Amino acid sequence: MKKKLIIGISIFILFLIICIFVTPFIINFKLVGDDEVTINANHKYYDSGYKATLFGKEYKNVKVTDNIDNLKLGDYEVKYTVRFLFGFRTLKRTIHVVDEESPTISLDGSETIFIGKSQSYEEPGFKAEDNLDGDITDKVEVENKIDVNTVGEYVITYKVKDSSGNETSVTRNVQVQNNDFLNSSIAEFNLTGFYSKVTLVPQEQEYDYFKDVVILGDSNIRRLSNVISKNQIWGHDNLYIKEINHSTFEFQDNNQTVTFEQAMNARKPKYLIITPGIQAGLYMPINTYKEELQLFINNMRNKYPDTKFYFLSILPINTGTIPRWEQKDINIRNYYLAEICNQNNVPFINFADVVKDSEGYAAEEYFNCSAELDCGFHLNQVGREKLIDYIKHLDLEKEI
Amino acid sequence: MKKVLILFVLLFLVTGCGKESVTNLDLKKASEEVASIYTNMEDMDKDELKAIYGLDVSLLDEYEIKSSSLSNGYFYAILKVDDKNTKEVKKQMDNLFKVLENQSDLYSPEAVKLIKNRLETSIGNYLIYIVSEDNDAMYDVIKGYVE
Repeated sequence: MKKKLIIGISIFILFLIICIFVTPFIINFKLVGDDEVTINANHKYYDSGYKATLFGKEYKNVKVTDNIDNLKLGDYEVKYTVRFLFGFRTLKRTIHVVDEESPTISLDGSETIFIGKSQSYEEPGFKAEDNLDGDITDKVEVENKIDVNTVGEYVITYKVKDSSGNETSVTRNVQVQNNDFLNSSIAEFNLTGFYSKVTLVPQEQEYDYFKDVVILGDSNIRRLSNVISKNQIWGHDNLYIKEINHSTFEFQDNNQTVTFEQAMNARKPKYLIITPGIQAGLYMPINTYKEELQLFINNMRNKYPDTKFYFLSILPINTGTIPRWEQKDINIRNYYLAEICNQNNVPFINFADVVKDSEGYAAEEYFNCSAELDCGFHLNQVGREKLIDYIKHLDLEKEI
Repeated sequence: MKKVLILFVLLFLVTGCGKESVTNLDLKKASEEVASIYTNMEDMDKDELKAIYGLDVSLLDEYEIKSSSLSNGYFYAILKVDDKNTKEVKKQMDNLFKVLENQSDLYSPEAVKLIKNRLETSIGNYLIYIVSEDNDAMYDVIKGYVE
């Protein structure tokens, strides 16, 4: 009897031991992803989870807990506990919250500023932010060695370090020029008379070339579809010169998506008018902009000698969707567009200056303002008709 | 008794043993399922990725990168990267998102918000980036293909 009792108790204890310590291992239980993960402070931790199966079927009795504070540097744990019968088993993932992220510095105003010789340089401003320290603008060190009395290119360097020692620096280019044209106020800037060798000027007569013209560009070009035939329009919203060279756009008559090469081979236009696009005006660094324009010109000359091509200046903007100060950047890019046309004997169509008001911004009579996202940068019906009429009065066969 | 003990030990060896984590991702299948749920997602061309967005796909061992053909800003990238290239790829992806933000800035401020609130994480050697209105749901789909 005693022997049976001892055996019974032993079996029961063995059963308990097996239930508590062994049977949880019957669950196939693994972490998904690494058991140590590093995240930067103030970044959300996305848990990659676990896999728990019992004889091939998903097992759901798993509790997940963590003590992560992503605003405090240190090591934390995510615990995954699976329970089965009277036992449980825990897997852990260690989360290291670190600060290896550099702060960011954003510059107000243009990345390249032009000033005339002996004019003073006015700093447009900047902001610095860090993922852990927040606003650290007051810690930015500015290195400015501009000599306004000497023509040349200068670089202003803005540097900041966060409390963890991560450092960032950004630069702004300042060009001191003899010719202070690029430093003109928005009201004074006008390309009329500049690069007259390549600039096409509208004549009194209307020419009959227009039926063979294709215009390639962004939303302002796409919206010409209620003024001219859709088979004369290529492009899409936001299209800019870099995308024209390396990406795709659409034929507006059938919405077919094509590369530039495919478009030219398929349609072989006699006259092609291209605008670099508002995106180029707002976001392209000047050197990249000039490189892409030159690339386009080289491509046209080498591969499509039978097509005459012309650049159309980037249209102006006014108060609305795009901040008004961006007009300065657009003016600068139109200046370089005209300059590259001049260097390469490519005809230039300076329509932008035709539709400006006396302050140098997009004239209200020619531009739409119908919604918050469509205000001050799209031609209205009057503006579109004016553009087409302007082109019809250009001698597209003029030898440059 | 001995047989019961042996049976339990065998069960333990078969089911509970082995590595405690899984980090292999069936990238193609994960991408197929995500694309089937979030329609209108299209592959991004590698030449375009390099020229427009600054991402050099030769740094990646394997990848799936898709963006939405609608202007809603939806995007995902699942990238298998060797440790030696991880830092550079992350830098290039930061630049890619800057370009995507600029492209959406004029017409789609909602897309810009989604891009700024994107999910960025990793599983083993896989970098995962998701831009959508429900990043967690898309991430759950991808996690289902880790083995």
